Amino acid sequence: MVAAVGPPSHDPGDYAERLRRLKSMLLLRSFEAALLRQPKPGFQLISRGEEAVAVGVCAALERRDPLLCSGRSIATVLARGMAPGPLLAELIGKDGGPNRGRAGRAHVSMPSIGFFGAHGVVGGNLSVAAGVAFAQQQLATGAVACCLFGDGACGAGVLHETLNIAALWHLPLVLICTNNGYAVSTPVREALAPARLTDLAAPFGIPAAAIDGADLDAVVAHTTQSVANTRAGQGPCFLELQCARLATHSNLTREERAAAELDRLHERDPLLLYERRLRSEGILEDALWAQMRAEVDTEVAAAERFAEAAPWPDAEQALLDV
Amino acid sequence: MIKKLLIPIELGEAIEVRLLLWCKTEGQQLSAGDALLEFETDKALVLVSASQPAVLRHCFYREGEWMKPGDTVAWLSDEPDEPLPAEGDTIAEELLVGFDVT
Amino acid sequence: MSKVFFREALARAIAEEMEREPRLFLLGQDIAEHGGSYAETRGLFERFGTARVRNTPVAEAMTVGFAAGAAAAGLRAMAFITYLDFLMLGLDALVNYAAKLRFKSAGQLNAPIVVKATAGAKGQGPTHAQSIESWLMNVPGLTVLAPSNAGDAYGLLKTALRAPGPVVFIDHKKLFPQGGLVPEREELIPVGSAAVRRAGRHLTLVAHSYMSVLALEAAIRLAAQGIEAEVIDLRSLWPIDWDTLIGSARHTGHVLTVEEGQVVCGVGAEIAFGLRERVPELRIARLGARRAPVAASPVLEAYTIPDAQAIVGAAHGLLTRAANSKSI
Repeated sequence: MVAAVGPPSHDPGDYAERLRRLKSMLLLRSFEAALLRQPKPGFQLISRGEEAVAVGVCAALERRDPLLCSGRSIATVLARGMAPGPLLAELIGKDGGPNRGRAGRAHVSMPSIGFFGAHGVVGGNLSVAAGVAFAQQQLATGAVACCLFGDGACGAGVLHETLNIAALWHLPLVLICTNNGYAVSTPVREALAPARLTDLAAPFGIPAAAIDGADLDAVVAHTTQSVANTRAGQGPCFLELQCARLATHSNLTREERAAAELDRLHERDPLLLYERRLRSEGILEDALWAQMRAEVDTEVAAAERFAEAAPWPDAEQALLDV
Repeated sequence: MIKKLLIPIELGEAIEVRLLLWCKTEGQQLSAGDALLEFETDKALVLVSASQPAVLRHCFYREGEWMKPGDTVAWLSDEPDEPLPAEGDTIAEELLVGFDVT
Repeated sequence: MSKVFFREALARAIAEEMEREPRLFLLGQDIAEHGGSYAETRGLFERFGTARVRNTPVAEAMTVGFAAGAAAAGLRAMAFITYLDFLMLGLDALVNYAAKLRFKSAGQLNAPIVVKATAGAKGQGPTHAQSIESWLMNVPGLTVLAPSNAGDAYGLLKTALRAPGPVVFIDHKKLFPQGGLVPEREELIPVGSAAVRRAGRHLTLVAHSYMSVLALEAAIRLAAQGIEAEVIDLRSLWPIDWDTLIGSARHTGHVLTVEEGQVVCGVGAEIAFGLRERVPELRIARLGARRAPVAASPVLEAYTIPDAQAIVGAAHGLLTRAANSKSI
C-alpha cells in the first residue's frame, strides 16, 4: 500500500525536537480520548491514526502559513498550537475558545496561530485554500497555504477545479491528501478510479508524492521539502499521506471493518511506531516515556477542568457576527 | 431631393444608441462608400456609410448625444443648395446606407 | 448627471473602487481582454493589468470559493458569474463558506466579496433565464442587491465593493440595452434603501430589477385608466427597506409585488407577508413567472414571465378583490 519514495534527504532533526513531536502526538491521542469521555461529547470525527500527519505537517509549516483542513480537525488544530482547554470547550459547545461555541469541530478556526480553519463540507476548503494562496502571492507574504483533505474528497469536482487553477496560476499551495483508506464506510477502491491518488495531480503537472503517513519523520521530511519548493516559487504540490483510521469514522458511527483488518491496525499506529523508533535509537526510555505521559495527562486534565469551568454561551450570541 | 438618415429599427435589441462621431460636417459632399457617422449600441459599434452620393445638410444630433431606433439623425440632399424643409415637415425618402457592425 | 450605458455604469464603479482599494481584484470568465460577457469590464484589464483582472476557466464552484478565500486572507474580490443560473454551481462556497465565515469564526475571519450575476429571460432558454434571487434572501450572512437602472447600479456596486461581508449583486440582461443617468461625482447608495419611483395613492407596486422598469410602464397605463399606482423599486433584496415599504403600504392600502422569478417562495412572498405583519388590514397580491421553466421559444418565454399588461391586470385584480370582500 505504501509507495516507497526514498529515504528523507535530511537529518530528521535533533532528538529534543523529535521527543517534543512524540509528546505532541501523545497529547493528540490523549486529548481525543478525554473528549470521548465527556458526558456529552457531541458528534466528533476522531483523528486516531493520523497524529503523525497532524504533527508532521505542522512541523513543516511556519506560523505565517495559513493551514486549512477538513472536518476531521481535532489533531490538526491541536498540533497547530491551539491550547487544549479552549479547544475542548469549543468542541463541547462552550464559550471558551476563539470561536465561542459557534464552530465546533467542523469549523474551528484560529488564524492568529496559522490555523485558517476547518470546514465541514467535504472538499469545501479546497477552492478557498487556492484563494488564500493567491492572497499570499499578491500580498507577497512569502507564506504558503496548506490544505489538508481526505481521500473522501478525491471524487469531488472542486478538487479538479482547484488543482487546475493552482497549476495555471502557479499558486503557493500545498495540497495534502490524508488517505486513510475510507470515506465513512466506503473503501478507496470503491470510490476512486485512479490507481494512485497522486495520479490526480498528474494531468496538471503538479509534482506529487505518496508518503507513509504513519511515519512521522518521513512526513516531516517530505512535507518540509515540498513546502520549501512551493515557497521558493516552484508552484503547487500534492502530497498523499497514507495512514490508517484507527477508530471509526466518528464516535457515532459503528465499526464495519472485518476483524482481521482491525487486528492489524496497530501496525499502522503512528504513536506506537514512533515510540518504538525513538526507543530503538536510544532517545527514549521508560522513565522519560512515563514522565511524558504524566505531563500529557496533567495537561489533558487541565483542559478538562478548563472546559468544565468555561461558560455556556449566552443564547443571544447565536445572533452575533452574522 | 431631401433624404433622411434613420437609425434603423432592425438594430435588434438596442433601445437607445449613442452617437460617437460625425465623419462629415454639414455642407460636405459624400460619395458612395464614404463613412458618415459612427454610433454605438450597448453591444456594438456601428459605422454608417453612404451607399449613394449626397450632401450632408443638417445634423439633428451632436456627438455624445443619445438616439433611438427610428429617429431621424440627419437630412441630406442630392444638390448642395436645395432648400431645406421647415422644421416639423416629414421627409419620406431615406438615404441608402450601409452598416458595418463591430 | 450624464447618460451612459448600463455596462458603463458598472465599469465606472468598479474602476473607481479598484483605484481606491489596491487589494481589490476581479475574477470571472472573459473579463480581461474581452471586456466582460456584457462589456461591463471594458478597459479595466488595460488599466489595472493581469494581476487584478483575471480570466478564469468555466468553473463557478472554484471561482466563488477562490474569491472567498482570497478575501478572507486579506484581499477584496469581485467574482463575475455570467448567468445567475450558474451561480448554483458556486452556492456551496457562497452559502456554506462565505456567508457563514464571520459567524463561525466569531469575527476572526470574514469574506468581503461581491458576486455579480446576471438574471433574466431573454431568448436563451431554460438554464440561461432564471431569476433565483429569492433563494439568496434567506441566507443569513448574505446581502443581496438588485439595481434597475444605471445610476443605481453605479451607486450600489460601489457600496457593495466596500461592504464588510459577502454581497450578491444581481443585474438583468434587459437592463443593458438602455442608457441611464449617473452622477458626475462619486456617490454611494446604501444597502437597505428602496426608491419610490413614482408616487400614487391607489396601490403600491413593489418590484426590483427589470420588473421595476415594467412596473413603471404599467403605472402609466393604469394612470390612463384613472388608477394611480405608486412604484417602489426595492434595490436591496436583503436587507429590506421596510420603512419605505410600510410608509407606502399605509398610504395606499394595497400592495402588489412584481417579480420575474417564481412566485412560490419568491421575493414577493417575503415582502407581502412581511408588510401584512406590519400593516394590518393591508390588501396584498403577488405576481411572478408562471410555474414552468422559461422555454427557448420567444412565444413561450413571453407567456411565462410577466409583462406590463400582466402587471396592469394583476393590479386590477387586487383592487377588485379588495373592493368586493373583506378578506385578502
